[in-house]
Amino acid sequence: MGRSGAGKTSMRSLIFANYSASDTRRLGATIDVEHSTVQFMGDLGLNIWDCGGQHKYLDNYLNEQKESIFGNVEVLIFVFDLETTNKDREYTLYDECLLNLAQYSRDAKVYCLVHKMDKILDSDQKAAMVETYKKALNKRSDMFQPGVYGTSIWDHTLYQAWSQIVYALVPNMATIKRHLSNFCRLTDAAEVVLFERATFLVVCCTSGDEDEPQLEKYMTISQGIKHYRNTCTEQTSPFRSVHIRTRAYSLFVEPFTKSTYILVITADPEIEPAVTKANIDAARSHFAKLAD
Amino acid sequence: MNGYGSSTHAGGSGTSIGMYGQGLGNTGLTTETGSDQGVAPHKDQLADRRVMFMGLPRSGKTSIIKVVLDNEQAYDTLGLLSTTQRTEHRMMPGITVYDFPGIDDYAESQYIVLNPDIYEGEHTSLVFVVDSQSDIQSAITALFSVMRTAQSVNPHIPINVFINKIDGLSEELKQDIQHDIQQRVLKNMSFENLNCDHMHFLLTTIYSESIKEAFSKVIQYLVPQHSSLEAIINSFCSKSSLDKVLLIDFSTKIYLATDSSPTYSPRYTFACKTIDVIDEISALCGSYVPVDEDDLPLQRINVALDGYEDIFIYQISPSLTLFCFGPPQIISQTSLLEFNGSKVAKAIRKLLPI
Amino acid sequence: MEFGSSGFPEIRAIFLAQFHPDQGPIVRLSIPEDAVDAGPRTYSGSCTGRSDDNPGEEPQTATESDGGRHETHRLVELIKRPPSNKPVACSGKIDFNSIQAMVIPKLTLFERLITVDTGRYKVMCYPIAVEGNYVRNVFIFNMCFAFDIDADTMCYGPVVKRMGCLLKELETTGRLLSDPGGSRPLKTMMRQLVSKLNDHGEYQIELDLKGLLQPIAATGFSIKLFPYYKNPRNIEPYHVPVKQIDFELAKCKSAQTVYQQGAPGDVLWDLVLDRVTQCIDNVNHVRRIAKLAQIEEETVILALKHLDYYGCIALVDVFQFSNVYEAQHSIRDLFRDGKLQRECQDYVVGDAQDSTVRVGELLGLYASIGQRKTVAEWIVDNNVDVERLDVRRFVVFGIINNFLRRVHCYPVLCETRSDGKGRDNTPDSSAEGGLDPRTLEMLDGTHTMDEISIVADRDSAALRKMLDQHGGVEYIYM
Repeated sequence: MGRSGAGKTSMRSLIFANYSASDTRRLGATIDVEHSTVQFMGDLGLNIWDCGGQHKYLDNYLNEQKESIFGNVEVLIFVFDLETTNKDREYTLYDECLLNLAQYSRDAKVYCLVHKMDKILDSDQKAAMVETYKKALNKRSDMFQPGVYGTSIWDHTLYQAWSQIVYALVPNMATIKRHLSNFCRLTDAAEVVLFERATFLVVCCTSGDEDEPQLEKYMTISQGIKHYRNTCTEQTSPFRSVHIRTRAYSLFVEPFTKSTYILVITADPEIEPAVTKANIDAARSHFAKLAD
Repeated sequence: MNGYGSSTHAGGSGTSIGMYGQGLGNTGLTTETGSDQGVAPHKDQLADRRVMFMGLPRSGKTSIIKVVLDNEQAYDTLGLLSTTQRTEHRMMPGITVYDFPGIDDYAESQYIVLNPDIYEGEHTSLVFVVDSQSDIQSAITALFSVMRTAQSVNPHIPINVFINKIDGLSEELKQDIQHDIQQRVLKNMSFENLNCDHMHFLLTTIYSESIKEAFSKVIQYLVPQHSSLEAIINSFCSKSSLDKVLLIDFSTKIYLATDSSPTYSPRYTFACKTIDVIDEISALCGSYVPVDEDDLPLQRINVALDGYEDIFIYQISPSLTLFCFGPPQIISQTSLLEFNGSKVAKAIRKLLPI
Repeated sequence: MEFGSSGFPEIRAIFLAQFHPDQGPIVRLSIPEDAVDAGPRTYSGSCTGRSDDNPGEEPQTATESDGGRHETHRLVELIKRPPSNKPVACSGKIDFNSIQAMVIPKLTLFERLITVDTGRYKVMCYPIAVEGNYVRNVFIFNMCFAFDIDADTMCYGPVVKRMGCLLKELETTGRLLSDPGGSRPLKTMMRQLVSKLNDHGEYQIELDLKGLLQPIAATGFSIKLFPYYKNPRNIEPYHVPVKQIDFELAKCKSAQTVYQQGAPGDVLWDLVLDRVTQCIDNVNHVRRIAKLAQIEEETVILALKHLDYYGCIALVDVFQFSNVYEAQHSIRDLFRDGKLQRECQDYVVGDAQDSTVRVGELLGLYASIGQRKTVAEWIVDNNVDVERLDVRRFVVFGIINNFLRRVHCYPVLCETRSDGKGRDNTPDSSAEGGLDPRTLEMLDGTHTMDEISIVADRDSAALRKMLDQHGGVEYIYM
């Protein structure tokens, strides 16, 4: 949901349809609601309703179609356009949506993406802007606790936000996370990250030492790999795995379970890559029970 | 070296070698331009192994150089100002690229015609950029004036015609344009009794890897010890049962040498993309360890694909890497490949000034 | 159904809808100007004055927000559509909101002829999407034509489609539609289009394109309406052609147009056609006509197809008293249409010119047909005065005007039963009854009694008798 030209379809195509950021320039406007279903993490089917943001359509959503649009909603993703000329209207629309959401799907989660963040160059200003939005939105949405993220299709922030959204959607995330860190410890790996197979969104990550996991880094890797995978497919040789070994570290990107990829980074040059690989193979069947 | 080399050797050759000797870092095969009574507006000397970019203004010379050598985004070159001064760009291994101002006014064309010495030398290559989307005839006229001068002093100078800005054209149209230009140029050359053995016509655009491929073909001619490099790579390729091996410069993604099997553009394009990704990932995961003198490789990468070929990348030096395509069962035998790779790397390191 | 002076259904309105990158589907131009009700344009900012429309709505929505109270007030109110706006449908305008999903459809429906029923109007359109350098990469527009709901708009199909293609061409070459300066020439064109098509059925477009950003080379186009004819129907040997025009008069007329002054009537006509038309007496079926005219059946059918295509004849079944008919809904037309009633009265009396049948009586009779009664049974049950009313003409009139439908009878031979019965009870029936194998083959439920009787060359009563004798035959009426 969001006003016209905010970037809803762009972000959807980027995440779920393997578009690259510059490809989205070619997208046309969404006519009415575009429904799509994505299989995510095996059996989790996401029904994505991409709602056209033109006045006439919004008018319909909020009046005639409000029950069908706002009924049975699990997650509402509201896209704010940073470049909008009329913020009040955007907020008003948001209010209206929440009002209907409260009526028809009480338990929905709300995420607000402040989009087109790339228009602000300075990172402090970016943070400040997100903060302003966060304040304003928290005040407006009493019942729902919206997650507010600044995003842009040109960098990893979009993936980051979506990873958060997905994180909340996958039911047994806590279990997966526990097992993953277990695996990380057993293999002596520095970092282990689980990617969803189709979208390459980061599902779960863990690192050996107690550092804050470097989410941004994983996002960039996942985006790079995702992009590369498209290139490979164009060459009619689909991508399977990468193994980089330098003097300082070894990095594996391997297909893991049916619905996931795994990234393992080992920092200890003493560990033979073959051992790590064997470990990954051994863990596969265990995780297949959890994540598929 | 031809006879005229000795005639221009009169003035101050010793100093000039000293001047850019370290920049080139190779043998003393130097031809320097003599100081001919100051006719030229730029009175200076050019490096020995050199590529000269010429062409009409706005044909894309500087853009090409920026994209290939400085890794700039193609979109960023839109706002480039026109070049008014000859600029030079060093690239490894010991090759200098000269970017000439566009041939539009009298002074420029005079300079290019009146300084035939810039074309001299065994390791000189000329790139003439033609904008496929604008006036081709005047570009050809300019090309001929350059060609006449160049061939008068150096009949064996390779002349590469880059038919540039072909992005957005259909495959058929591209072929047509190339055919058209090629016909017009070659026909006139035979009229004027010019030597057309060293003419190459290449379709390029800065929005794809085609420009890098074209650049590679130009550079290969200039790379020192090219034949030895090729022989080494050939033997590596056959001994390890690999399909294709490219010696690629990591930063510019130009290939300096390859085995003697034909190089298909999609494969090269794919190699470029792969290097991009690897570069991105490894930049994130840690910096390079300083180069030691031992034989340990800097980086080895296996990329497995669900196709007929897998990829193995072996880094020889911070800038050079061996990029190998091979059947999956070969690539999976990493240790064997690494052993062979280390031998090849050693040989290449000896051949090339790194 | 009303026809314009050109003989085609009249265009009631014409409007140009387009997809506005910010507002969604909008009506940009319409002729007449108030023909389309595009509904409340919430958001557009032009409805500031509406805040006092519906005060009852306000408290409910306003309580939700506290920041910037007054400002939000107004805006919230704009989104909530006041319920007083509902009775749009009866205002005589086209309700754009209800059809916008079809006028600006999803991409799969583009460049297809779409007809939308709005209850009062029939809207025909041909949505076009032009890709190019636009704000949202595509420019979507649709020139819609509105007609009365009961209009036969078949003939407008090509016109609507052609208009769409034309405008697409104008847009791709000259940005006529996306350029705001194009409104004036477009409006002039649309206004002329309506009046010219309604009056003359054709229109030569001359666009006045002064002040446009890009010049367009071609500015003249022609559009013409052509009557729509369906493909000629198949004609079977058992059909009965019924005259719809006076053939003698037609012959004279056609001769006159060529020879200016009176010439022998039959000179110009195709000989076959001439023979065939002479044999059409509204009773003879095709095979009998072929026999009478001594012309091959195929040739006769070909000639009749021509006549049928141009509406000179109608085709009905062989009239028999054993036929079953059923009254149709369209009998309403007879209730309403006085002209039709008089026509009916004149027709059904047949040769007994002096007598008349009252309309009420006729309607009653038509309505009483049904319940799977044969005509004979119906006559008896309803005490039809056969002297006064020609039953055949009565039925034929009903068929031609779609008041009546023939209920066909499909005999089916049930093998198992017939085998048993055939051997036990009537061992010699086939020998004397003469059910030849070809007839038996046709008893598979896909052939009507009429067809079979023509093939077997017996009238249906005799055939029925034979079938009953043979046994094991079921009859399906439908």
